[in-house]
Amino acid sequence: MNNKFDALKDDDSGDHDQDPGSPKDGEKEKSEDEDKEQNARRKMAVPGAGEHPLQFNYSLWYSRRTPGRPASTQSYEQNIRQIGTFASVEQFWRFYSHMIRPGDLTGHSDFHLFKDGIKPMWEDDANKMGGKWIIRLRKGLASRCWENLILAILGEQFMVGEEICGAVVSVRFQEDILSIWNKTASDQATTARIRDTLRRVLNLPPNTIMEYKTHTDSIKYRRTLGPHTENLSEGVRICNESGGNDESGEGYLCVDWHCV
Amino acid sequence: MEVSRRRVFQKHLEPARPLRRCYTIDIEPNRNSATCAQALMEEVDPPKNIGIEQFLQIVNLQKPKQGRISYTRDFLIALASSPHSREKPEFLPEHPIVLTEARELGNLRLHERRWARGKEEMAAERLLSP
Repeated sequence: MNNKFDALKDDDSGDHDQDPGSPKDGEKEKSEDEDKEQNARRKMAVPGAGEHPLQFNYSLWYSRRTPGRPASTQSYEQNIRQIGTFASVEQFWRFYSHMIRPGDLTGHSDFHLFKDGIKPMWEDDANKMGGKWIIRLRKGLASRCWENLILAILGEQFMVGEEICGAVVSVRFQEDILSIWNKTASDQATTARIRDTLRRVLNLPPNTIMEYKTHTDSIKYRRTLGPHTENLSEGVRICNESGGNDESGEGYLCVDWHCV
Repeated sequence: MEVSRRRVFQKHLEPARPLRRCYTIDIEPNRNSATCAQALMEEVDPPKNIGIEQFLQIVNLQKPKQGRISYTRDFLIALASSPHSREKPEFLPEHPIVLTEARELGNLRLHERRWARGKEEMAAERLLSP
């Protein structure tokens, strides 16, 4: 019964993957196959014998904007890649230790850690009513902060039930941006708790300014800028820049540590 | 009298429909009262016969909601160095950001030490400030 439900859900969300700009049947089938393949892998993610299970299964994703190409022509598949799904602490470390750290990334790229079944995009059912806390980091801090953030998520340190959807680290030209996404932007008790936990686990100085942004606001902001917003792949592209360009310029603040 | 009672029965059973899926009973809309009564019996009976296995399954479904599995940062980091955590994952895509061998995570602990020192400094500053 559960499997059937999952399959339906996957089919639904799979539609979002389709790039409406390339409706060739062959390509469509291919991407559906890839989707199924990924689902199969995902379902296999169970804690091994003697391993430490996680409260939820998670997936790691990577995305990068190819330099010199206008982002709007890029599809979801070209931009974002699911690296792996894990169900235990040991499985997480296996993937994590086989990936370079965010601080060593170059160019316009992001790592995403999301709960299994939630796509790192605004349009996902789990995200569409949600929002994110944004912390801007000066260069050199991303790896350590990302590590602390995802360890706090995996270890269930936020204590907000099922509200956490995932987190993103965005490597940009002059700064790096951390964001943590939750399901219900209107739930102020939850967002306040996430903020306080973030301060604690990242050891943020008390005067650090953190910004909360709802995904609907992010989408609206983009709509006023670009004509491609009805296009779903554009929505995904925007998502890849989560916490990215759209905030630059306004209220820029750099987190600075005593301990660095 | 009989007929009207049966109708009430059917009405009550209507919302319980999803149960049928569990027991794969094919009930054709049949006006025959005998088969109707039989169908009702079939439908009502199975839930009474839930075995221990089924019961445990139901209990397990509820499990994730009780008691959170939480780990502290230190505990997670301690697990990072176990040989089990250093193995190469079975499915690892070829990608520029993917490494062929596990990188050293020694820097984690180094950071931790710096981190702790920073915390102390911050605490000290707070103590000193009026």
